[in-house]
Amino acid sequence: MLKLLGAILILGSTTSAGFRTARHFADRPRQIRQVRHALSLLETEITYGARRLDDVCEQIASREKGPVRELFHRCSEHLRNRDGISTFSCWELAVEEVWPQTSMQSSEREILLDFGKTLGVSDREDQLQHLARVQANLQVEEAQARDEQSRYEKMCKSLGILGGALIVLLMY
Amino acid sequence: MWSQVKAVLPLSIRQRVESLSTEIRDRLEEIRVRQGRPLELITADRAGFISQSGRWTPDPASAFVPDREDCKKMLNLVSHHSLYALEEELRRGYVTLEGGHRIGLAGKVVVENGRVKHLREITGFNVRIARQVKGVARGITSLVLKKDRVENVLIVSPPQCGKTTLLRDLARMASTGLPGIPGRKIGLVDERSEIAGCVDGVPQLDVGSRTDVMDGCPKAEGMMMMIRSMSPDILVVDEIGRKEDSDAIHEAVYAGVHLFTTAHGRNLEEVCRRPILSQLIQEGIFTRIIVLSRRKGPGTVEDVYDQRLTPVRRQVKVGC
Repeated sequence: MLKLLGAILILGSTTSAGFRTARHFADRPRQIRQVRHALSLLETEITYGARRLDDVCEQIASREKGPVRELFHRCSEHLRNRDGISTFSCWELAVEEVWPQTSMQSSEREILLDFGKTLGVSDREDQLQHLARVQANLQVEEAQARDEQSRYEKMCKSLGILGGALIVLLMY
Repeated sequence: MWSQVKAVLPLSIRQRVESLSTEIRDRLEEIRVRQGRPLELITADRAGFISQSGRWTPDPASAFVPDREDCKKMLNLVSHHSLYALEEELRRGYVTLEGGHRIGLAGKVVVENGRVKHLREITGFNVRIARQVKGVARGITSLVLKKDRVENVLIVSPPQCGKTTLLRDLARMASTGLPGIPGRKIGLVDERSEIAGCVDGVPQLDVGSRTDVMDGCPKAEGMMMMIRSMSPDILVVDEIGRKEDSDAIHEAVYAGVHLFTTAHGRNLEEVCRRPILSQLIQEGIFTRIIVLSRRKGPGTVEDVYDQRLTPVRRQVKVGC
């Protein structure tokens, strides 16, 4: 009886571990897509609206969900409350704070931090150029992430279940 | 008012200015920040510096000197981290804040095809604190506004004599109305955001309840747009003097729209020497020409003339 309970526990935990890893693979491209969507909103605002960066960030935050929402919300708060420290520092701070919650990887982080260095500090044309470059970079990452998702998502799930089953079999 | 100004000052400067006595702070007209040089404060009657510990000092040697970091922070605060949104402002060299305060900017100019493209390396800020003086126009309203008649007004004055303040107050009174005089629809074309001090298109200074503002719009074009779209009774514009302005003024006056406007000049003779203005005056477009000076403080009304250039009444009482 006890043995059966243990077996179920092992099977349950490996399965959930597998599903969690799989979710990371599924979340990454989705979050990159969200960031790209947010950046294209920013692009529109810079081209036509020419609104203040903190307002734009707040607006993006209200439209997005999850960690991406948190990222822009934090950024907007830092822009407003940090006594004029550089825009990059505000952005960097927001990225650092939010990163543990996201499923994105260090390559995306580098792209976003790099983007922050140019954020807000130049004229419209320049801003748009930088945004286009970031979009292109993120697109590459997104494609790669999707590729990984299709390859590993299912595999992680089955690996979790099968691995658990294997341990149970060996133990019995 | 201070709360609007202090929002753009970095902490190092803000704390020092806040440690001044309130009577000095309330009388500040300009705060001048220059990178690597002493922070200068200007009130209505004197100019001075601020010491490291936040005391007023006439001696620049012991004064607080803002550094590169302070200027950078100040630019971030002024631009709200969005230089891209300030292209037009950087070209013109100033930013208007909430409350109608203005910040003049100086730095390295980037030129493209012989035109100023924008400012880079901004190292000089002049925070000009706006104080609207309500009621300055009360002394002349009886000459300008009647129950069923509005005069076309030209205010002539050298700089710093309260020309714009008077124009704004006149617009406010004509717009809101006075006892026995109904308010009228006013179209205000504010090319340099000086009259209404708009932020995001909303006037920060009181220009009256029936006033529509075309902010940052070239005067001649703005006047035509107003006539076409907003059917104003009175058009208000600052500092006319170009050929296009005169065309638009003709258009307005013949369409039965009245006009409040201003021109630079020490006296009537000086204004009459300027071709466009003298032509307008000779045609009798302006039925009241008000000449200002600083003789008894800003906004002293020296003379008021009618369209035949005969004095209407000398020595009008000014102020509230």
